[in-house]
Amino acid sequence: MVSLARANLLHEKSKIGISIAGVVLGVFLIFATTGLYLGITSVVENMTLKAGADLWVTAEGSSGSLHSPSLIPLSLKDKLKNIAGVREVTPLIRRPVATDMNGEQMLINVNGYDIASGLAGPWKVIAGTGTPGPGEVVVDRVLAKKDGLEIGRYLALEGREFKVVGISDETFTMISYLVFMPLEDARTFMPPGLTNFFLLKIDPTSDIDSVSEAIRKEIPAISVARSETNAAAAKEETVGGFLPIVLVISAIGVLVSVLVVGLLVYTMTIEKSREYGIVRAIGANNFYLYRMTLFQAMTISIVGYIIGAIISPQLVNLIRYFVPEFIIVITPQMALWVFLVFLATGFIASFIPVRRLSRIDPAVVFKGS
Amino acid sequence: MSKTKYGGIMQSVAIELQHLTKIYGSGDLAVKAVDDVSLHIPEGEIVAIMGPSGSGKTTLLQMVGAMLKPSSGDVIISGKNIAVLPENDLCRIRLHTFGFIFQTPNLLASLTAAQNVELVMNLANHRGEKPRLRAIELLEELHLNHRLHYKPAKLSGGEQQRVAIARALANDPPVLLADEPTANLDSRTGHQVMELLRVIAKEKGKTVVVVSHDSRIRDVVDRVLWLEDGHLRVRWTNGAVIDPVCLMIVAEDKVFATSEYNGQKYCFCSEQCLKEFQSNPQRFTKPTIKDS
Repeated sequence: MVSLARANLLHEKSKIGISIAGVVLGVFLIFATTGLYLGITSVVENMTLKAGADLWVTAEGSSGSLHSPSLIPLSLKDKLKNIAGVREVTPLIRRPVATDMNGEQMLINVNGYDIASGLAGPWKVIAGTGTPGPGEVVVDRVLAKKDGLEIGRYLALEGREFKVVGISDETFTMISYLVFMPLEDARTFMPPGLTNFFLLKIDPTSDIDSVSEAIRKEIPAISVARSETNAAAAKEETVGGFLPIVLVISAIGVLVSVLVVGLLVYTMTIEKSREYGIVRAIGANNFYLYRMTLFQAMTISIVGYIIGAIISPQLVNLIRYFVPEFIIVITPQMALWVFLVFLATGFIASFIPVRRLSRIDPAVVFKGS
Repeated sequence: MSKTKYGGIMQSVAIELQHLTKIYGSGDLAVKAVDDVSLHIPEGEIVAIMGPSGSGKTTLLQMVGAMLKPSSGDVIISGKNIAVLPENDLCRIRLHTFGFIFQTPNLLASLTAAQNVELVMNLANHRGEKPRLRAIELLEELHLNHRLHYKPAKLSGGEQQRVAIARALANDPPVLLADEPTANLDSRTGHQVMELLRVIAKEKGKTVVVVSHDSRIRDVVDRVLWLEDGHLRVRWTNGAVIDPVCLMIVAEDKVFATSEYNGQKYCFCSEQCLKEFQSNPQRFTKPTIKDS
């Protein structure tokens, strides 16, 4: 069977190429903004989830995120340990430290954790070790790349020098870089007798919610929550305000794609109105013409999506090489959603020339070319 | 299908027009392009509609071809009045009842010659090998077997017009409508196309309606209808008087001048036509008077 729609597309290679490029750009824009959102979200959530605790004990009302300050007395440790069902209690220090690096003021988040338990240690080490000794640190990949903090070099924080022994990934939150160090070293950045959080491991035989309730009863002036609850709260506090921006930019990407595809099928309708008139004159109805336009719009959208989906991760890697802060996560689920969005894009764009199509006069064939 | 007595014989009527009128615009700006035209065209007849520019020939053909709604009157094709049908039905009528041949071949640039022909059959829901083979067969019949996979841009004007004829025949329609099919062709190719139309009409039993300015068409048609100012003025058959330059019918008592060329006598409606003829008589090769 002859496909006029396909033949027309292949007949207009350069124009189709430009339109597909426009869609590819739209796909990348959506992958980039949504991926950025997912990237930050994943880092923020992982900071809680990957800590490995069953329960987080924080100052009353705090979620444990970097935006939710928490200070609690270290003396609570024994009290917590004595509650039935609590197997292990580990203090965690997470606090921002401003430092000057290569003449630039930067915000570092010191993550002082108990090396023995490993709770809240680096969860994705890409170079060196994940267990720093005294006077040693594991630094975030972005920070390392940005400031040349290779393994063996030193990071200065509030007058102290720490040797870089490892590089961790997924620990950059757009506003600060996580630096892991032993709890004892991190205490120097805290007032005496205080910590930020306690991380609790619960006996496998105990019910986490019952233990949580028992802690609340015993120490009412603190907050206790599961890691998942704190992660959700941290996500909301950190990136909740960022989501509308992401949605707006993604919507712009979709709109640009709809316009690019719509403009192409519309200009093709205008340029080919005589040919479409011929097709109508020889017996095709309006629906045939609409189906042709739909096929063209869908083809451009789908081909644009496929190319966009293939090159976006490569492009992200390339951009990340030059801009390490560009943290993007592209998941299969997200790819599926973007695909559905671009199916809808093609469908919507195909409606743009509908009015024009309905006005095509078959009698145009009687006029000379 | 209605039958009418035509030439003393009862014949099936392929096309019947009853008081067909088309008015463009309204009020003071209204223009009557076709005015109360009635005629019968029997099956298998090849008819030419001639007349000066702006006489309403194309408008008449558009209405017959289900591409233009008449302001009033009926267009009865194979017994069905298509003037009252909705657009979707008209598409089907155009697809199955008519084959169109236009002044410009109007081939689709992105398709090959064979695909241009096959597409019409696909539109009529013929799928698979059959339409492809029929397209090849039709193009071979028209001596285009070496051009099957050529796109229109690579074909000569005559070849393009032959592809258009093959396309017009693809769905085996009972009626062929041709609008100035020779206008863009050189005289030799134009003549070949006209001969081809006659062969198609006679061998395949098609009714053919040709709108043309080309006086040579008289040699291949059964009848010439003369349209002027939207009226069907004279139904001319061989033996009438016609100005070879402007193609106007000239009553013998209104002939402005006559001239002889190659032993043939020609009549003119005006001095201008006479001068134009005398400047290059070969342009107007066919005699306008057949001595009876």
